[in-house]
Amino acid sequence: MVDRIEIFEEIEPVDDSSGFLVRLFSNKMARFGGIVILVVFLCAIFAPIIAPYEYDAMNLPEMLKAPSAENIFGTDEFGRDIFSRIVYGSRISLKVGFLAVGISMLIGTTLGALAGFYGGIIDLIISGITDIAWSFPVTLLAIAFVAALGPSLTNLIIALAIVSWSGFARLVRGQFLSLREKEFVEAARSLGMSDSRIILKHILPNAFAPIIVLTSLEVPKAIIIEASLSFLGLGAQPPAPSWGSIMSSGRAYIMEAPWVSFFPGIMIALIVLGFNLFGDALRDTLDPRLKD
Amino acid sequence: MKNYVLEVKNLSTSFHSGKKEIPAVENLSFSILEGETLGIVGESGSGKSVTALSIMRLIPNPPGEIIGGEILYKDSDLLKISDDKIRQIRGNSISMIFQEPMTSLNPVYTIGNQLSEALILHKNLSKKEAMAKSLEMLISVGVPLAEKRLRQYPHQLSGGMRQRVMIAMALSCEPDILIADEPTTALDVTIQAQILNLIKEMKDRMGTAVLLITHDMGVIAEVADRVLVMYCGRAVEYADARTLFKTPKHPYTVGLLESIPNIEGEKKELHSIRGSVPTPGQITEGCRFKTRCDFVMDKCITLEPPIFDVGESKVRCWKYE
Repeated sequence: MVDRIEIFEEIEPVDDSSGFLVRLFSNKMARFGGIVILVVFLCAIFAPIIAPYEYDAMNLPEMLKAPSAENIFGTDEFGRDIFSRIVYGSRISLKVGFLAVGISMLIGTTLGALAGFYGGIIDLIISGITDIAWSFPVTLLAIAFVAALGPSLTNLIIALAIVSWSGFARLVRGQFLSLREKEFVEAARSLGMSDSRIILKHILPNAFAPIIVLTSLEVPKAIIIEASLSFLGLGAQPPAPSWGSIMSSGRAYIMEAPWVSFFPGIMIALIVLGFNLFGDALRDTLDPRLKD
Repeated sequence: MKNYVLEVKNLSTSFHSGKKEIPAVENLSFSILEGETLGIVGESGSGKSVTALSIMRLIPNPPGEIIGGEILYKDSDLLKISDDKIRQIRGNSISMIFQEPMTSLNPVYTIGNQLSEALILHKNLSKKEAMAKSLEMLISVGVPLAEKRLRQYPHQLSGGMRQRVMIAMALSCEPDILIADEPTTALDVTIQAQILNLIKEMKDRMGTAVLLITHDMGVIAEVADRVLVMYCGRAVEYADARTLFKTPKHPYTVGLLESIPNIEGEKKELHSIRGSVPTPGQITEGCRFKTRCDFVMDKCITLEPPIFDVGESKVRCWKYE
């Protein structure tokens, strides 16, 4: 249709799109965290293959046996293999961690986006609710919710989601407050785009990086709260092999059979450390100001 | 005889600050002919950008509000139609390019993705057709290596390139009117000239009318057919470009033209208009220019001049009563 116009610039476009994963995994901590997370994921997926016994297979003559070749992490007070229970328990930890954080991310992002984008009275109401939710200690509030709903894993997930969305709401609201003033948002408006399209397609993707980082730091928190509440008997109910409840059941035999509590404790510490290190490295990599 | 593609009548837009209402544009009337370039020129705060945003109905509300007037486009008043209707017009029949090409593109999408979005939205093209049209537009605005650029992200392009992309985006739906709000202010001088030429060329090729907003008389001289000079939210002079530059009438226009440095002849001290622009709402009666005018009369202090026809120009000044 048209001719090309004479122009002066003929710069070869530079290609610097590669390198995010390379940069991320050049960080030792990220490698360590990534491997821990990967191992736990594989355990959860292939639990029936990895675990030598069923998680609820009782063998009373073998109760409270020290780690040995048959039971590498020992057995508990019903003679159940602790290694198998821990492998199956990774399913519970990950399920609670990701479902609870996933739901709270959805709630928080939606509310934060509405508050940040529209401002005014909507912002006032949502921010007010968020600040109230933010002011409660999460564990305490979760205990209260589980107590009200009745102890079960589903109720624990619901309780965690209800108590932990405020962090996402605050983060996303802040991101939207600054992003909505950007010229590309005005340009999108001038091209005839609707509010919902601008929010979902133009502003939200620009806020993905911090949301992902917050998610990776919220998951270990949820895992810890799950373990604590299960330890208190408010989460997974027996015989479900939650790491927290295994630890709790080992409490009575801590002097004669410390391995019952020791191994699930180590696992909780490891997975939380893994997620935190990975999340920190992710934040450093995604933050352009720290890029060299 | 050419038709008007856009008529603005008595437009008034105000901003609320606390309980005060601060007028940004008052009683502004002008019109754009099919395929012409109308330049709006004025200092910062004279209401140029507010005028552009009012036409697009993009005044942030609150705090801004269009409090009166009509904006006629194709037999309908843009100020009265529904939000859905105005969205169909934005980007499709009237589109806009902005001052800051560095931030006007969304950093998370490729150029091709952004260019095709408006086409998919307004012209119901498939993704593939939209991409093909986007490529055609990129080539026509003179972006080299267009195929490659299509897959690149905004940060990989220079300012001039981005402004070309913005122009391609604004023109991709073949609008009747292109509003260019200081399109060259953020660019360096050589790129400015290229972008102005491009706008001129695209206008001639597509028959789009252009509303060019600038504070730069040089830019106006370069591309405008007719000129509207604004001061404090009002039109003070309205004439075709030739007449305006040859025989400026309003003391403000005269002052503006004298303030342009001359590269020929003797070096002398640069003329400047004394005083500074009053803040909006500061002067509430009489001529808005009275504090800086060299020809101020008693009448100017208390009575605001209406617009007088002087030859082919329209001037808001008591001198021409």
